[in-house]
Amino acid sequence: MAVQPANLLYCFVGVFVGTFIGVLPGIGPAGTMAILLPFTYGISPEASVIMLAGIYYGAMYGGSTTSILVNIPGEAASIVTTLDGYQMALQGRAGPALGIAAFGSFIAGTLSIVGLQALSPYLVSVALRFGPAEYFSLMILGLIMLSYLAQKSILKALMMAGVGVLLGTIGQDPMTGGARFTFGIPELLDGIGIVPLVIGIFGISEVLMHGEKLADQSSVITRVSHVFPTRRDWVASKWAIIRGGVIGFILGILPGGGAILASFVSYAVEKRVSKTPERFGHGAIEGVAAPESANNAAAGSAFIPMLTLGIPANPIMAILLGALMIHGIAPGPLLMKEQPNLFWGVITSMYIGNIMLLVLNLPLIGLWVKLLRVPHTILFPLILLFCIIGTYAENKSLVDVALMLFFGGFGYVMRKFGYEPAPLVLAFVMGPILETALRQALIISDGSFSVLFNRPISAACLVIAAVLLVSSFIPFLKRKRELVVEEGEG
Amino acid sequence: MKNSTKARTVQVALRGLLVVIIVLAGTWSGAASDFPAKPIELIVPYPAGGSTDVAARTLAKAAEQVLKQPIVIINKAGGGGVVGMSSVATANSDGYTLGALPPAVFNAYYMQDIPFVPVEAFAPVMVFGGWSFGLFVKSDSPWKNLSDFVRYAKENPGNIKFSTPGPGTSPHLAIAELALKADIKLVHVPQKGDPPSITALLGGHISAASGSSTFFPHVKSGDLRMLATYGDNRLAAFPSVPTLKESGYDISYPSYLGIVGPKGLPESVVQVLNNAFKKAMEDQNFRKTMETFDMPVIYLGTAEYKRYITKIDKDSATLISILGLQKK
Repeated sequence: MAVQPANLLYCFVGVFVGTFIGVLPGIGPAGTMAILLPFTYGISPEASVIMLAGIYYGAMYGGSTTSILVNIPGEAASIVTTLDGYQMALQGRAGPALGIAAFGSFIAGTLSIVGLQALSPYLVSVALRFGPAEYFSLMILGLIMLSYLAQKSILKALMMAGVGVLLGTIGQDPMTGGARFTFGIPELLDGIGIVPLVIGIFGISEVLMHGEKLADQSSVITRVSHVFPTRRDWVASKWAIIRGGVIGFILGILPGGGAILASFVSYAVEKRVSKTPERFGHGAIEGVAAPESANNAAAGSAFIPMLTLGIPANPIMAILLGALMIHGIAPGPLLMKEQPNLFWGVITSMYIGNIMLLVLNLPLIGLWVKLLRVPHTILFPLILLFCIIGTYAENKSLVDVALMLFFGGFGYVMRKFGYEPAPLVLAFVMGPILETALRQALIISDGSFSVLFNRPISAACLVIAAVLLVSSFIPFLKRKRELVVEEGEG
Repeated sequence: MKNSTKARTVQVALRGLLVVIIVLAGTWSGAASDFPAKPIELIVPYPAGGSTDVAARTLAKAAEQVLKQPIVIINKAGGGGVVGMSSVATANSDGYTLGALPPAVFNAYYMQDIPFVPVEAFAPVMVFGGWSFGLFVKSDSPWKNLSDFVRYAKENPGNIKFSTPGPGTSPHLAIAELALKADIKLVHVPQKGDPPSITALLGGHISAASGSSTFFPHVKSGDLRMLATYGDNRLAAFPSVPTLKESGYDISYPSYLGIVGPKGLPESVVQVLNNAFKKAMEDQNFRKTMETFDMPVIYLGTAEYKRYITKIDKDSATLISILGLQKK
């Protein structure tokens, strides 16, 4: 179980590395997990997921530190935290800002694990009823939703989803085994790996973006005191933490939702319900508490669809899915029954990991602050090096390294033109599930499409997807959606 | 000017010396009499951590004791075993590069363009184990045995939807051969690996599944029933389940996992390796590992392994063309 010394160690390594890369700009949890994936082959599947999950929610804690102290989000889910966090730091209140971020993360993160624990067994019992038709319709809903929830243009997100689905068709045809788009390269028979794709798009391209304009590191605020928030701070942020937690939990389950969106939405909500909205952007503590709570809650609830249905809600879960597959474990409705140690071990480890993070982030804040002084001219080349090593280590394949570098360049151009990487990566993972499910459903129904509409769960998913798609093109609703997103962005 | 010429002469001399050293080192380590004189690489064409990897790893660990040289496991996954085995096929045939050969590679040859011809590319050393396959239905299914299943299929052609871990996999070819020989029509719903196949069967979305030992825990728990197993002998874990042969169909689908080298391996080297790995099969750790993965421990010598390779290659060619899965 999770309290075995070895698993505790992996949990610690995970949350430590997570905080570390959360603090460092230029690399986020997705890239890091992909780089470290080959190094988890030798350990038990339980330990490997415990460690990788630790990196994920650890990064959510670490990301807030740089947002508050240097005005640079260490991690995309902490972008909104810069708005009020940095202002607080300028006013000499960096301590309470870091403190409320850590406590809020802890409280919302823990609540989210309770939700995960309570909801999963119920979902598992429903999940066996999911046949190919249901999986297909759920994937369609997921793809539409992830475009709908995109931070910028829906059209651009849909385009990226399309590219992702197409990339997912490379490799063997799931029904006939014939090779598609492999150009005679045997390395492509299994399709493009998730590791080179993620390291390229989230690792290389991010370093290139940051390297474009090196941040001024002299502005780092290094004096941090009074990390324990005062009674007044608590009164101001308690509801923000709860609301942020609930919003994060719900958005984390949805495909394409996840931590980044949760942080934006919860900030927008706090600003709206506040009696003094003018304080936001000038150092309002709720403006730190809400998004930081939300991103941690989302990090927890994203595990629900992965562990119960085997469907990843975000690119990070896609990597965890890959980690389990390597060990011959296919997440799905049977996971909880077949691998109870794994399932509950991971959940227990998350409780323990959150406590570790609280300890790591409050008393040791000085250590992380020092890390911010590492010159970026040294840091970025190192990250590039790790990207290459991590990619090569997975399959000892230079084809993978070439692919990774290609996606690094591609991702950079994408970002420059305002295309988000998440829809592409998610669609890449969902595409093959979607295709297999549709073709299986049609084989089982002897070729009749009615199977998609006759079954209630499947029909409901398709109807919701259609409504979302139509509503995003109706001018009035479109404006509303943009308003929420813009407000979140400040 | 004079200086640079001198420098170039020295450079050329050094390069020449290097070539001599490399050539000498090559002949020296290539001498079969003192094989193995340096570490051996064993390429496993699947990711680390899976059943094939762990089985090969524990066997190699035990064989190191006999060979007195380390065996380094290199995981080169991709293309269902094709990527890793193609680097075995093109390696020097000195015995320092070996591979764990999965039978799936023979099917792949007929279905896709791959850079080597499996039946010719390898020098067999020995078989150390295999996989067990079977035909499974839900325990509340009306089919109690294989003849119930076949009778229903005869009366209701195309009504039985069954799944396999994928097109062209051994469990697929085996049941396709059964359908052919029993003259029944079944509808194939391919899945990606055994786990989704189990879920689909338990959820009632399909009515039968052909798969590997991954199904066994669900048979033991009473959720599923195994109608037949595809090897030559009944399985130790399920003594009451008949083989396809016993059920009246001349089909045998043993799936063996063995050690091979690139073709042209010297006879003496094969002998040394065969002895070492054979002895390693007695290792308790290896036996325990195989038991955990429900993989039978099977020994086939070099000659028998060669016969198996020839047979499985021929069978794959025939079935894949009958099924219409051959490369276009």
